[in-house]
Amino acid sequence: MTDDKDNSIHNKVLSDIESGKIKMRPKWHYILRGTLLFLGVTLVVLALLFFGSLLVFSLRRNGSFYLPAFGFREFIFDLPWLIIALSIIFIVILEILVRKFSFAYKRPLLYSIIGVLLLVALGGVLIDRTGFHEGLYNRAGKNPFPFGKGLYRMPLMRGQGRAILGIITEKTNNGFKMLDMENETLNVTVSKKTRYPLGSDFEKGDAVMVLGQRQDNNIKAEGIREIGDMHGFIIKPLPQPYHGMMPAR
Amino acid sequence: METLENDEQLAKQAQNGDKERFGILVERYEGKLSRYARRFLFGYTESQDLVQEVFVKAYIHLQSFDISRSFSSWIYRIAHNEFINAIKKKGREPIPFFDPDTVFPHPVAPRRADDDLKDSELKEMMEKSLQELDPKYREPLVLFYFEDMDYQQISEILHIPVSTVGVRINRAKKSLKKIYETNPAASRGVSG
Repeated sequence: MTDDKDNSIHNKVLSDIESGKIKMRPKWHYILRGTLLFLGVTLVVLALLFFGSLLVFSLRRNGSFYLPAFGFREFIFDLPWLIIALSIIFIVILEILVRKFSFAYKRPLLYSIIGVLLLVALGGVLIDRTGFHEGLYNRAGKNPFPFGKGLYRMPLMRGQGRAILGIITEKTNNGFKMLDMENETLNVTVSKKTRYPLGSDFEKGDAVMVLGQRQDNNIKAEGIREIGDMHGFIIKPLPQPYHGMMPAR
Repeated sequence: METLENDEQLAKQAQNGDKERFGILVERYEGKLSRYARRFLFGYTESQDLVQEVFVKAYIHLQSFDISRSFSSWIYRIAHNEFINAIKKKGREPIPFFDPDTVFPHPVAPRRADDDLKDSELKEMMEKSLQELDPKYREPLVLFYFEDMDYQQISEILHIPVSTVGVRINRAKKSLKKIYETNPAASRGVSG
């Protein structure tokens, strides 16, 4: 019996504690760990909000919202996959981090995924509405944002770039001229193959999306659709020359 | 005097350097964790060493314990991690990296009046056939039926949603019944 008592877990653990073999880690160790975790979560949330808003900006800027009218394939190929992939990576990291907290692990994973997606979607739209990315995009590649050029102009960041938004400035014999989002005038030529999913009755001042491969300042339109009804939400803030050109809604 | 203090108060005093108070906690949980280890870790000869390691880790990390929470759930969580690591090391039983049951919400069935009677039969069944179950089903069953924990506490220990605890326990019970029905040897000696 005495041997049993001497060999009990209680005695072994207590004698190891007394002899200093086992030492309690100080409280600051856990405070530091908690602070780092909090900082990590904050940084990942900020990164997610950045990429979420960049995604909204990219979809808006590239006209991807209007592409489903030309078919699902066009829409899929024109998505900014690099931004989507980076967003997914950060969502996974955030999920791993928040699962350490009881509010997350006590509930089904689906709930926290929905929560994160809502945060990204709402935060992304709100940040985009502030013109944050518009400002960075316009300064991309110029001092003090030399890195921005790569970030904002990479093909994977902006999809295939086959959708071009603009305002019709003049009708021509074989199409029209339009002012694009970069304030450049493009010559759009139409052919029998050009598709008009929402009709072909365009006037000067109409906001349109042209689908086609751009060569210099010329585009052979594979498809054209009006975007007038949504321009207030989608192409905002507008470059300076656009103001005064948009028809009253 | 000692027994009047709850676990959390003892843990707080131990955090402040009172080693004897930690000793009381070890005494309180030694039996419970040994029983948990025996039932969860079938065929693992080193289960007592693992329980000792649980207390060593508990002491090392005691400052991370938040006294506003349950000490029981905290130390069982350490035990769970220790036991799962031991199972992984042995590699004899599958421990899935990801459980799809944690993704979607599941309705938790309310307990019925005759559940207690069924539970006593089930406990007998479990004593004989528990080792036939995967660890992921065995563990919540042990915590629920032998450690008398509720779904909330089990969720806290296993870090899984409360509804998933219910799903695992129900599936484990069904599997046990199946094992029990297909193995006549297991049913011998069980009343009813």
